[in-house]
Amino acid sequence: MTRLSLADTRILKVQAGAGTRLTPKAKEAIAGYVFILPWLLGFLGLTLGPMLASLWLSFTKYNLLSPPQWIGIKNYLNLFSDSRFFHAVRITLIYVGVSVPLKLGFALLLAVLLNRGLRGLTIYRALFYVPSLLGSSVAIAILWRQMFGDSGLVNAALKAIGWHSPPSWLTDPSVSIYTLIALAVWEFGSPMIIFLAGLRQIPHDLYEAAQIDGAGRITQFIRVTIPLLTPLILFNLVLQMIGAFQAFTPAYIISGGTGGPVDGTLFYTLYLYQQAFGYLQMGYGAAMAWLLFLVVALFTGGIFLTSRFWVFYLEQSS
Amino acid sequence: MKSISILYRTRRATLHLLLIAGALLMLYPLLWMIASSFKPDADIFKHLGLIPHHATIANYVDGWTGLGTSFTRFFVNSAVLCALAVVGNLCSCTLAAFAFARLRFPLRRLFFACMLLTIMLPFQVTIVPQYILFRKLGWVGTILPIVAPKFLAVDAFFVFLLVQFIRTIPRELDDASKIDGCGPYRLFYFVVLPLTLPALATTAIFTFLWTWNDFFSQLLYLGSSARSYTVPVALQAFVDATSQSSWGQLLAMSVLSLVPIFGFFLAFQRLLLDGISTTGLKG
Amino acid sequence: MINRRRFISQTATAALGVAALPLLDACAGGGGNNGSDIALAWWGGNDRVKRTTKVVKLYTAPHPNVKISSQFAAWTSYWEKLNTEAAGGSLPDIVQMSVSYISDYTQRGQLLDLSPHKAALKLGDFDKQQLAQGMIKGKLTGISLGANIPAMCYNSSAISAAGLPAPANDVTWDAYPTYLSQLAKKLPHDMYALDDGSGFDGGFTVWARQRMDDIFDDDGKIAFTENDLKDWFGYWDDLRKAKLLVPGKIEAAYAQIGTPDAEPLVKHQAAITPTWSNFVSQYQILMKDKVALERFPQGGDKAGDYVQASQMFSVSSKTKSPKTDVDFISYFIHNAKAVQVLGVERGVPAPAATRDAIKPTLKPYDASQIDFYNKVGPLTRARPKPLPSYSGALFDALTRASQAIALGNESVSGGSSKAFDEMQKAASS
Repeated sequence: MTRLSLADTRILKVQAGAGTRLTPKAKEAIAGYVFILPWLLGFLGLTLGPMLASLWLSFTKYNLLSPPQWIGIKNYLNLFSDSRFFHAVRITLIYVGVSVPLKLGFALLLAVLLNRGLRGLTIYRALFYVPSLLGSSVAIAILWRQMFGDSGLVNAALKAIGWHSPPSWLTDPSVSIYTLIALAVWEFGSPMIIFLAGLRQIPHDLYEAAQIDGAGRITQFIRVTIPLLTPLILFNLVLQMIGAFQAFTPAYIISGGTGGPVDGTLFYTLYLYQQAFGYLQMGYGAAMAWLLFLVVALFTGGIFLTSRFWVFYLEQSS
Repeated sequence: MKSISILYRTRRATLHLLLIAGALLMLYPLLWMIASSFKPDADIFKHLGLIPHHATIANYVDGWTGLGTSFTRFFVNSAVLCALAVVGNLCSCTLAAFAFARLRFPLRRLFFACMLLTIMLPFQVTIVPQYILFRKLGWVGTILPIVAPKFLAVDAFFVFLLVQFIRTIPRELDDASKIDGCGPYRLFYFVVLPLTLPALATTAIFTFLWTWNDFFSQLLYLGSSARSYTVPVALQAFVDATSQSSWGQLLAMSVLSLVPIFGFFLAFQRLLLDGISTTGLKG
Repeated sequence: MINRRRFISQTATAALGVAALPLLDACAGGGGNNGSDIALAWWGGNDRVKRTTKVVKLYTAPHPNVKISSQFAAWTSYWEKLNTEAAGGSLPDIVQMSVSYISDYTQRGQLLDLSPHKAALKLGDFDKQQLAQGMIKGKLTGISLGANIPAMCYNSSAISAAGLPAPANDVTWDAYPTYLSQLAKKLPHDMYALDDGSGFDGGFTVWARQRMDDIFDDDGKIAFTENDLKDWFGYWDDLRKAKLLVPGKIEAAYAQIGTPDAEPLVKHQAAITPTWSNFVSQYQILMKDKVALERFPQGGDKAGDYVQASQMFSVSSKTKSPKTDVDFISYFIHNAKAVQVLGVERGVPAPAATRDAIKPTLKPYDASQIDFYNKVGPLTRARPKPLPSYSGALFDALTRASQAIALGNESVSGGSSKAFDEMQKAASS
């Protein structure tokens, strides 16, 4: 056998490759898979399995201490005769419907206000983010109860502006949810940061061009800022909505895990948790989880479907 | 001329006033928390003001070793865990986001939908199957169940966030670089990545914060011995309804626990400030 | 070409290695004192953490081959974690167990039967009632760490300041309101006579057991009727209407916090509170006024109160070191130094010798628990049957109904009916 020199081998390899060069499209597809590989591994290896397992569990009676027993759709049927379940649904819907718009509204407002190149922007931004840092701490639980108590700050303020007998926020089951809505809205710092980052990303020349065209501040806001912010408005809307549907910790820490008073703050996932881990009815909890999943997926899908009418991606511009 | 500048100044002043009022509202609980951490236990619920009647640092001193193992250990454990989580998310989520936002490959839409769907299932029901899975892998008792998923882009929140950010970058830049001969890899590393710094900063901040506070996973997987506890796990051991609680120590340690989070936020928020100037890329 | 000699020696080594494995295993875990690695889990606040970790140190000092790693959490997190670990088949070696869950855990095979280790556990002078509560269907799976008894805890300073005697230990439910209204007249303006106990699981159980054998029958089904619930809630509602009871709003505010420092008794909003006997220590630590224990009101034709094992130690059925586990548990409940450190923090100790040993060293409020146990214990009626798995859901329904009625959201009959439905549903699921 004649032995090839290393240089010859290299030349041969290049020549061989020349005839089998991949199309750009195929190259892009391969690159796509290379980039997506970690996620794919994570999804298939760590996420999909447990998700499907939990779906299977929803058709079983499972008390965690012994293997699950198949019972078909009984869990789902039992949900429909469970008054606490419907109560939890109602409470959660109120929470989502009120807290998400308010939270996003404040986040957008403050982000726009703070983006004006104010002096002290950095400090303000940090201060408005502080609530999100404190979020689920025990200190908040204590303080919130003090503030919303019958002789607390909130009622004192309300009386001062003329509401003479404000409700007993913490002990009246029909209004206790509003203390949690207030807590959620108070933590608007997270979506605000995202809006701020997005505002920073809008190219300055677009504003300059609009100004040259004679657009005032407000027109600039409507014509430039908002449209370019829509991808992040979509993001925040979807994720805050999903987060609100799945909210657990606020109710857990403020009501001490009870969802009280008298289930006034019984979030859907809190009830799920009580059933699954407290009463060892994991199958029932799994059924609740998958029902929530369906509802959230439907809402999200709906939002995405409408998004093509109001979300504008700069990458699509010519 | 003069009247305009007065109007402008009054407007600015009112804005500042409103912002300060708002900021105080945001800050009040934090201030209360710090103030109460210097009060003895009995006073915390009795006197709700911001000034302690009998200030004491006992809560800090006692709380640091209040659980047997010193809090130094807990802080170190938490810091290591969070640092790894941040690195993991930054690496894996940007890769996946770039693919979803900029590359065409078969099943892309299906994968994107799957990714979003993973956020929609409440974690309470996947805890048990995941625990069993990690047990089979032998990862229970190590940091792997918490860190490995970060390197595999399991946090769909950040993938979606980065996708939205990347989609706001004009395609013209892509086209320009392609003409210059950039393949997808170089496009990612040299063009797209630098332009998503604000999103990367956001990812880093949120990952650090959420990992730092993620108490139950850490209790479950790292809770086999007090020496491997992280800060949130240790904190919840201070108060229990069925036996004596130490609210003061809990508050003191909670205040200290905020310091790294706040520090991380302050360090990274500069990146949120740096805007994108596209003028340099023209031509 | 395989070298024959090397092959044989290699196979021999391999065979020896395989044969040696069981021995290694025994050394590593099963043999007891030859180097064990034990995981110990409990729930409780940081006072309990301090005491327990001290005892662990005391034990491991003379047993250098034994490594005990401690895990602790607050009550709800503890059970969330333990139930998850149980699902994964990896319970810690020694777990603190509750009467609410021990039946389930035992019947699903999660806990080790400690009957073969009775001698090592030295159960000779162990309180019989608590011993029985650790026996599930013939298996000894729980060793009680301390007992408590449902009791009326009262502010003796406030009551004597009001010029009245302490509640009598043989007062009946019927006579109680008379005493309470005398008390209410003399108490300070914002202090009510009695704290609302309509949602207290121990209280309801005592009251019901004065009329019937137990709230659960032998098959584990509910033994009381909706009318019983109506009577129970009706009694407390009458007290509430007569302004003798802490109003619903204050109760609801306390329920959200749940810790002793938020108790109406501690906050001087109530003079008497129905609670578990071991809480007297927690309350006294938080109060300048003196508090003391008295027996629950009497009624019906039987004794209703009972001694309950407030917490137990159980051993995982999968433990690799049963002998060491048992040795540690025995140390925990009998060793002179250990029991002094532990005191009555987990309740009144079950072994009589331990009680006698620690009593002189205890603070007065802690010692009062033992006094109460000695006084009332013999008057109680044993409750050996384990609680069925739905008992948690049942008592939650009781608490919710109690709150709803107290806040005026439900009438007594409406609330009782709703609660009873929920209880039936829980019993049949």
